[in-house]
Amino acid sequence: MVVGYVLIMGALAIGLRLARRSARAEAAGAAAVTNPGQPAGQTNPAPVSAPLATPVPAAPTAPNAPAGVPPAREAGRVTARARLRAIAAPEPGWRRFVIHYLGTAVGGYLLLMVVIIGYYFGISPVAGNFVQSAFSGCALLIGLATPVFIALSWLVERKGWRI
Amino acid sequence: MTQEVGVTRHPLIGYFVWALLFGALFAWEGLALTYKFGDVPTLSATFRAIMRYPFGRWALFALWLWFGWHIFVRGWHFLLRA
Repeated sequence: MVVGYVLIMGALAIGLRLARRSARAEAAGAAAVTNPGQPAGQTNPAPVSAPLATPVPAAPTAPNAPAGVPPAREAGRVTARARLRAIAAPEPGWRRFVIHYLGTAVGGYLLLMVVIIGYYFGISPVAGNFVQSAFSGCALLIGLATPVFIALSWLVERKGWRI
Repeated sequence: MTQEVGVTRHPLIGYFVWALLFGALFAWEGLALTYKFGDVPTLSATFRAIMRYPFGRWALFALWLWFGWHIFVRGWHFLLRA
């Protein structure tokens, strides 16, 4: 029971951490769009002494760049970040679709395996080849569902099918 | 002559609890669909909210896999066999 509780709470904690991280990344991305010269770690650092309602005017000559960092290096850092973002979340299309699908399928598969292994070794060892069947059976299901899902996605997106 | 699949007998209360749980689930969904109870989200709205985040998608996919594994793979027999 304790192991089950720890598993559930651990999964929830990981989910919360991921959600907060993605929200922080979105905020950083929005800040980079509005102010491309500013690094993501330094999202509008308002001066402590200034009141919150007072807008901080951006200096036209130095766009909030940290002191001592040359502009060329700063621009290179932004370009690298944009390139990383383009790899993780590219423009809508087949590449993005495949990345999204693979991420979901692999993540879900691994999560289920973690839960099953935790249940089997921590709570109750189910009779039979439970763990082996989970690994092979779930992989078989993904293998069977993938071509059907890709075909349906193609029909809906490219052929205008209504499901 | 066809041989029926053996079914283990369990106390009736166990089946009753499952029926109650599923009944509550569908009753809640029905209430959400009637729009008479304010901002009660439907099951699909709840799933949409969960799937906004990667971990939510993983969890739902894992649930789908677990269900499909039990229904179609583990101890599989033809579904219409009584």
